[in-house]
Amino acid sequence: MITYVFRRLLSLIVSCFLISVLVFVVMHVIPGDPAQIMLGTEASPATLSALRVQLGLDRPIYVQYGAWARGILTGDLGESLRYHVPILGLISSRLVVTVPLAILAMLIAVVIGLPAGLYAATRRGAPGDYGVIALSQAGLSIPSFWLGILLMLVFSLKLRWLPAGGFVPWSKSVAGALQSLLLPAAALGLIRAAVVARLGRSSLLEVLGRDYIRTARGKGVREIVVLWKHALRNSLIPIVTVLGMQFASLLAGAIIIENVFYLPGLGRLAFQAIGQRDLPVVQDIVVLVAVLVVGMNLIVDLAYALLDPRIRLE
Amino acid sequence: MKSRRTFSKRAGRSVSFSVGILIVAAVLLITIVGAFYTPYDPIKMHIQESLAPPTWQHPLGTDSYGRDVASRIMQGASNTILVGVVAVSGGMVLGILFGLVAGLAGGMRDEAMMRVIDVLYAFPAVLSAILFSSVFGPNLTNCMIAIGIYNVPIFARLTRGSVLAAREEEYVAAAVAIGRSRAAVAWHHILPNIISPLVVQGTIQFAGAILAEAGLSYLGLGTQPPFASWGGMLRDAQTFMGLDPLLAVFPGISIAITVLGLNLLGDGLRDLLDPSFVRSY
Amino acid sequence: MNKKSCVLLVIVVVALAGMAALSQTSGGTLTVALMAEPDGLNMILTPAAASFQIVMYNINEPLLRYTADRKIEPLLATSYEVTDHGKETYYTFHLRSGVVFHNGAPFTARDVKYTFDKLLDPKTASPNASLFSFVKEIDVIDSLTVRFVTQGAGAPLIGYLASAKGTGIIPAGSDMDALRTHPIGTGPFKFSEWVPGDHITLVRNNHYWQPGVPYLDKVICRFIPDQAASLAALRAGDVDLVDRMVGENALQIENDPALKVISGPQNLVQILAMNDSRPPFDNVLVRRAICYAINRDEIIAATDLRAEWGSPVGSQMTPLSPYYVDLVGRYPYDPTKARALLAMAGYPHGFSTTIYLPQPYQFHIRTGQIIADELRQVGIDCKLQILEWGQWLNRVYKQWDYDMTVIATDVSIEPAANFAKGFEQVQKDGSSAYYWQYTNKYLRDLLVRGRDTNNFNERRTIYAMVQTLISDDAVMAWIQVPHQLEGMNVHVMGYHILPLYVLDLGSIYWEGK
Repeated sequence: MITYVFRRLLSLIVSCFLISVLVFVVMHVIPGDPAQIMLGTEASPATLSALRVQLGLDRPIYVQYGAWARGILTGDLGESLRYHVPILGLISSRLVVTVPLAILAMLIAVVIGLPAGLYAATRRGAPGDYGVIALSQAGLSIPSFWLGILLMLVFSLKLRWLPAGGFVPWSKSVAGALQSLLLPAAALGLIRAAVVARLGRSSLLEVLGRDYIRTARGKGVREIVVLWKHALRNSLIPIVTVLGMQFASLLAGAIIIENVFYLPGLGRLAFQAIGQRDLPVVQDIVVLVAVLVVGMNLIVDLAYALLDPRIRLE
Repeated sequence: MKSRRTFSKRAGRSVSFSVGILIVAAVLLITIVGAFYTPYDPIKMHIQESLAPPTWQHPLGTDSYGRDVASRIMQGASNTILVGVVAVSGGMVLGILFGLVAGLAGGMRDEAMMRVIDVLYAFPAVLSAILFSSVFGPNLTNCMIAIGIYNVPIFARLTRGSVLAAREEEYVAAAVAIGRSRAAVAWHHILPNIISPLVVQGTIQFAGAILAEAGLSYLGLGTQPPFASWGGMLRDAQTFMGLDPLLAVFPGISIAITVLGLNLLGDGLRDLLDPSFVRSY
Repeated sequence: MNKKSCVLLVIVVVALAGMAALSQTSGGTLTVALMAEPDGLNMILTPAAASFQIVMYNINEPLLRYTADRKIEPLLATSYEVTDHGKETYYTFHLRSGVVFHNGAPFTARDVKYTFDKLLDPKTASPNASLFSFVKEIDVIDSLTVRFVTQGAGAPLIGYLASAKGTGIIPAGSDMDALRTHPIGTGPFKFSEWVPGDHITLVRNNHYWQPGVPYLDKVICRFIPDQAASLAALRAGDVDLVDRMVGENALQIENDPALKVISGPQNLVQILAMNDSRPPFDNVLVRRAICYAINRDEIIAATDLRAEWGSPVGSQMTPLSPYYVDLVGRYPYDPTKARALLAMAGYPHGFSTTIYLPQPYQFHIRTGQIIADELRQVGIDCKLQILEWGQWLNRVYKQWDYDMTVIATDVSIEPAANFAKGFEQVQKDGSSAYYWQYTNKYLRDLLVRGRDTNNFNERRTIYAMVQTLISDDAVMAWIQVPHQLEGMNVHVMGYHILPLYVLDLGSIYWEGK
């Protein structure tokens, strides 16, 4: 077990190193010079080269990589080329939007999806089961950004209940912040509720078919106890796995929804930073997200092993 | 002959498969027709007729340039389906090759190749697509390549897993023992046995590719104007949402129906091709 | 009328005036939605219009300023004299006394000299310095008198001092980098805080030299690049004013009794630029054909959505300028003539070309799509290629590797600024060093003459010739001056559109709220 964890950690480090090299090289070969973008259509060649020196863009690429990587390892994420502020602050100010968004979306997914899936599994073949199946199929087919646009159309433009975009900072109003997150979280969460419902249903059905459940039933254990004590716990494993992966992917993967609702989240920061060639910001975000995704995979695998003793790690 | 008859019999009974294949066939029909004929020129503008509500002449109305929305949805179908087909088949071929090579090589080479796959997998898909089109410019081809790259690790993992399992099988071990080359073993003994899960996965990835293309086109990274794509139409629609909310409805429905059809088809195929799989629907 | 009632009347009048003043000085907070966020607040260091918009007139004040009716009036200078000294010209400014910076330091001639020395110092590498290349030196005469010495007549100096970037006065000795995130000036508003990606807050300068000004206690500038979101915020009352609305949103708030739209032409011209050195655009007949093929009214209808929200233009000048000549009629929409000209130029069946469009500027992307459609009708097969801004700058602006592009170009009221870059920059071999790749020796001589005289009528004749010449040569197709649309709460008063990219906060007040 310990050697396994150690090996996985080692490969995590290797993966992160490869990703950091990849993103660094990509960002530096992209046409489009950050200094030129900052100066726009008003720059003279002399100003341009002065600004490039000021930003440190005139140094050889491996020197720049070394400086950046050393900074990251010592906890210094560097400074944004565009805003001239430390990137750590920039990223954390975006995380307070994106992390609650992801949490809210996952909450919606679980609160709606899990009961629906379990309900369908216990009513297999009944109309209610088919209803859940149909709804989850529909949910899996709708692009979340379109759902977002539709929700905005109904709840912001027609009913005017919720804001059509933008973000009220937490410091100003907690209720306002939650309101601005509600529609985008619903757009992301309802789609994922379909995933959870479908997975929950099939997972529970699979567990209910196992021998020990039959034995329990045979022994005359009450159905509700069978469901809660024996079946549910075991059927949760694949759901937890998927939720964990989804959560990690939402951190950077909510770019489109953040664009639909104009939320100042991490994905939007990355999107804008790519456009403005704010190289260190893009590099930091990609590495951060990659570490989160790879790390989340590891945690999920370990959790799997802990929840299900039958899984043997190599 | 007998197995084929039972397949078609079972296919007829599978609701997912039947509905899925009907929807997919209808979408393909519209796609093919749309590539050769649309009621109106989908790119010709008529500024004076912009943002018209649905009428008999324009059953889905006109967009902000006065173009017929129905014609544009038909043109968008061909672009979207094209991206899906090329991206998924490209990603599938590369992924299978990668998975076969890694699985058969084994040892350190396998380990190294799978680390590369992990890196590809850990890279957030949307972000890498944005980076990709920043490097090479936003257009249809690059959109296909970006989605294709995203598909490589999925098929590589699937193939490698199957190869590792197949290597334990007696007939593969026997083929290796009598000295057949790795390529021959892969071609004659391994591929035929993993074709069903690949077809199922391919169908599901196709649905995913349609969603991905829509998302990228919404961000302006897919099909370029004046040509239509469903995601791009949604982007334009959002701009004029306050003046003409209907514009945001039809392209979304097109995406949803297409993806629904492919998902149902994938589910149906899985049930039919892989009897060992526990039927969940 | 006896003496007593006269006194009473005076009291009533004074009281009325006081009440009027009170309703204007009633304070309050204004929340403004801006499209773009500054990349720094030291105007000497940044070329960004988004920075200029907040800093100019509000935080840092120049010596002179433009008014809403396009006149230049004194600000930190109270008056000036121009004296001719042969090859040089002296511009002597008398400065306002009793002005204090936000940090408490008194404003003197030393600050003016420090500001311009920093701006012009090559070590500062200011992107805004090139306009002032004709300024030789700035001399402090006494604490409230400063003299600019220019090479030649220096005719554009007065216009530049009222409108150019980097002319807002900063305190002598201030650190350039510190001003980036914490600007200090003499303006009616003081900088309070900047939360990157979200907002900048300005607060009332209680020691402003003009008594009673400003009226607002606090201004919050929120950055909302998405138009739908800013419209929703305006409707919900989260913001009170949306700067530079798009037509589709302005149309929607017109019917809302709680909101209003103020519109007026701005100092911006939308152009279809062509690469004049690349065939077939090196042929003036082709360029003229393209000008005839473009239907400006159709573009205005589809991009501004209302005819009065855009003005067609025919040359590199804004109708706001006293030097403007109306050349719209030079190329009326005439596809038949366009086809004939193409045939004459040797392209009877048209040709294939690409228009490069800058992302994320939807306004230009929309225009480009319509132009492509119009050019197709005269036989020019026009493809579209959308480039994100960084790539557009690299490919079109820097490497001149393009056929055509749609973009907006700044047009100043002061004509010299409009032509300096695009028509005077040349390479060593005499070819153009600007992306539309047009050169003309005669034109360059005219532009030098325009700078070298202070006589208004003479300048007007020269710049009329300049405009006619470039229009005849169809250097590019000038499309429109899009109007600035400002959406706001009906109770927001005193807003006026200036002929430069500035949000003038000093005159705004709340009434009846």
